[in-house]
Amino acid sequence: MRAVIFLLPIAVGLGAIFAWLFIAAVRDGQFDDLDDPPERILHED
Amino acid sequence: MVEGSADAFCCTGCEVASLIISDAGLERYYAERTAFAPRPEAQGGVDWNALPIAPGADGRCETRLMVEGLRCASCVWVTERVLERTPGVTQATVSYATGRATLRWDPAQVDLAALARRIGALGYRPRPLGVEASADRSLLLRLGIAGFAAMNIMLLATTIYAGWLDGMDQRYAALFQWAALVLATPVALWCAQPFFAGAWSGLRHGVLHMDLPIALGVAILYLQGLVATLAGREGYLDSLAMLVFLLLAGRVLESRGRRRAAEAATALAGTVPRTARRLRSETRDADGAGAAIESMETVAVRDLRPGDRIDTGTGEEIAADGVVLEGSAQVKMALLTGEAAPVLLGPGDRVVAGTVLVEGALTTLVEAVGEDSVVHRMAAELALAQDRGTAPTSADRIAPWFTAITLLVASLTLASWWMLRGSDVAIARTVAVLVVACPCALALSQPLAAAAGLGAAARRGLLLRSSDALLRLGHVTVAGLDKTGTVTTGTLSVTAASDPTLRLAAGLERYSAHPIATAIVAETARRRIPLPAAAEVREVPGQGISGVIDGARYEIRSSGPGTIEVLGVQGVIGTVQLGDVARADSGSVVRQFEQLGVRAVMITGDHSEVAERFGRDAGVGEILARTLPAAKSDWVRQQQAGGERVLFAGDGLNDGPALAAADVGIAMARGAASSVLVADGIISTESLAPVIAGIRAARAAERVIHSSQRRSIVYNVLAVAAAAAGLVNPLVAAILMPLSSSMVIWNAARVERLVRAEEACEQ
Repeated sequence: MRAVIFLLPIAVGLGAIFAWLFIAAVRDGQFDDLDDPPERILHED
Repeated sequence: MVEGSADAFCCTGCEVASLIISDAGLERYYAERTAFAPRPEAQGGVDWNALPIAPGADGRCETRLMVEGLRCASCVWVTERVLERTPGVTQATVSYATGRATLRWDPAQVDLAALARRIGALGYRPRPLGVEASADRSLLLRLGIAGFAAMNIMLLATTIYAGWLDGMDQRYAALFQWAALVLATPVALWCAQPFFAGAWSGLRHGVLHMDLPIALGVAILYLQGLVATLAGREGYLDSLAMLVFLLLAGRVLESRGRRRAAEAATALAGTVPRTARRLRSETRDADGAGAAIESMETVAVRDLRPGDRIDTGTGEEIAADGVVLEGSAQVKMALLTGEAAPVLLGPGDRVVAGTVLVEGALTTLVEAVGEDSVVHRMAAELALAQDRGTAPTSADRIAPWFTAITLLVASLTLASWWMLRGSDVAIARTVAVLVVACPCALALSQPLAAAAGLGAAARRGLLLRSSDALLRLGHVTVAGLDKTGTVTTGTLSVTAASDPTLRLAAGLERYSAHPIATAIVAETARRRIPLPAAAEVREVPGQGISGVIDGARYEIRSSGPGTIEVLGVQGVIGTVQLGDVARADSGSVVRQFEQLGVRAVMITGDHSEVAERFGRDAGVGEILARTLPAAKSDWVRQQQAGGERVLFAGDGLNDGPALAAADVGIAMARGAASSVLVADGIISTESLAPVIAGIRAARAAERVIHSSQRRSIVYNVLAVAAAAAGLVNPLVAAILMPLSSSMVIWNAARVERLVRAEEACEQ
């Protein structure tokens, strides 16, 4: 059961990375417009 | 010449647009477009370079504009590329969903006015944006963090619950419990903050609404979790995180639906800095004669003073109220009087700011500007009429009872178990009662179904500002429909003409920007008559147009209201009748109003014969003719006094008071800015059908809300009874709560299906 001592910080670290990524994405405006990007990829030039 | 097709252009505007597109190397647009772009119109009045835009740190300017008339993804593509390939532009993105263009440019190479002209030349209408609400990112952040915490706490909780069966070392159980507490702390203290804020502001104003039992529930869940963790027992932290996550998801969905309508309204009513051309006379004594010399200067409209003289030309908006001194012109007063046909004005006639000069030129003496103008006085009246307040939702009406009953049951549980089994058992069961009583499913019923209803209405062309407006729309009993621009198209159309006459008229009118010309050219295109080439076309404003078609000379001129004659060398060849026509779908809309149990009444300032003709066309039984603008809002109040719930649909400045007074006011997107501002909803297409779709969506949403609320109350009653009997522990709560909430979510998804089913019945 000593595994928990290693697993716990790893899990917390991974979680923190994803939480940070999410916050950064929201601040960056990635979720402000969910309707246009799907239209836009059809018009790559 | 487009893609090898040899058809002639309908007007110079379209030809210019096509040149711009092919110069930029974007001919692909013509192959890929799925809808035709509108005809370019003259852009007048907006002073783009007066917009307050300062260059950023890198010397580039950035701004956002509204672009109207985008009809398909190819429109977006061609606009973006044409802008990007303009020298000096560093970035141009256009959003199809919101119609927003974001531009970055180098002010040393190009100015905003030039960019706006380029968009205008393609046939789209650029408009400056007013102040915009930024997207609510903080709510989304709260939702994300709550979701992240909820998933992790569930994993930890599952481990603990599994430990009940397998046996688990107490140390690990405590570790997991503490980890859950750490994750739950930001959820309770930060993510759930909107509910605490809502409950608190409700309490301060003496209103008990749905946020109160939620805030109570969250607080109790968290405190119980804290105490239980300290005492080494298991708490309800998984239920807490799940609850906050689901409730926030409901909020996010609802606010997204609302934002769309708010954005559309801001853009349509954007305050625009406009300019006017002021005449200045100077007396120059230097040349001895003392003669007055006229000069012209361009000034901002807000700098005009009564007594100034201003010039207005074709396509421009008249800048201030006043009297015509010189010149004659056709002026379109539609937004003010609701009359589609332009009116011929000459010296001595009064003009009102905001009306558009269709053809000709006027010099006017300014009499009133700013707050004294007709438009401003009307806006002030509207502000008074608009104070409608927000009606409590059905969930909010339940909330005080709900809270009171929960607290009563909780104290009964506490008292009876205390007497029977002592304090420990009593406290544990009371907490369980308070936990399962938290009305998550009940609180979700309304926002989810309302968001689904707002979405269903928006997909069909009706943008509603709030869920309140949606629910009120479901209850309307009378629909007051303004005639011009609402039941009718509000623009001139050809009502009668033979094909050969129309062809000749179109040949001569194709170069003109007058509404009559637009109507004739559009009708020619509709009848698929090829446009003839015309030579030596000469237009005498106010008199007529002459030119040579197929080698013969023809002339057209006006002959009475709404009629023009085509003359050849030998005399009159034929006439073209023009007028306002009922929208193609008005008849079916009126029929559907009746099917929905809503009385449709057409209201107009016209004479009764004209009104009746339109009424017959549209199938409206009840017509109120010769109504003065002010009488429209009186009519609304009369109906309301008689116990009716009134829907009013209109587009003009004079409809504003009625829109504001009605239970639900709906404006047309192309209508006057003030009507858009006071309305609860905006129709984004050129049709009345979205109102019907809106009523259906509202009724579907209402049905779903009621069924969800009934089911969640049944759930709550059963769960509270079980908790009072001591049958609920954290595991049971963790299973029951998501179950009841998913029942509500699944129910909300039925709104769209219900609306579709009704539409299928109609066809």
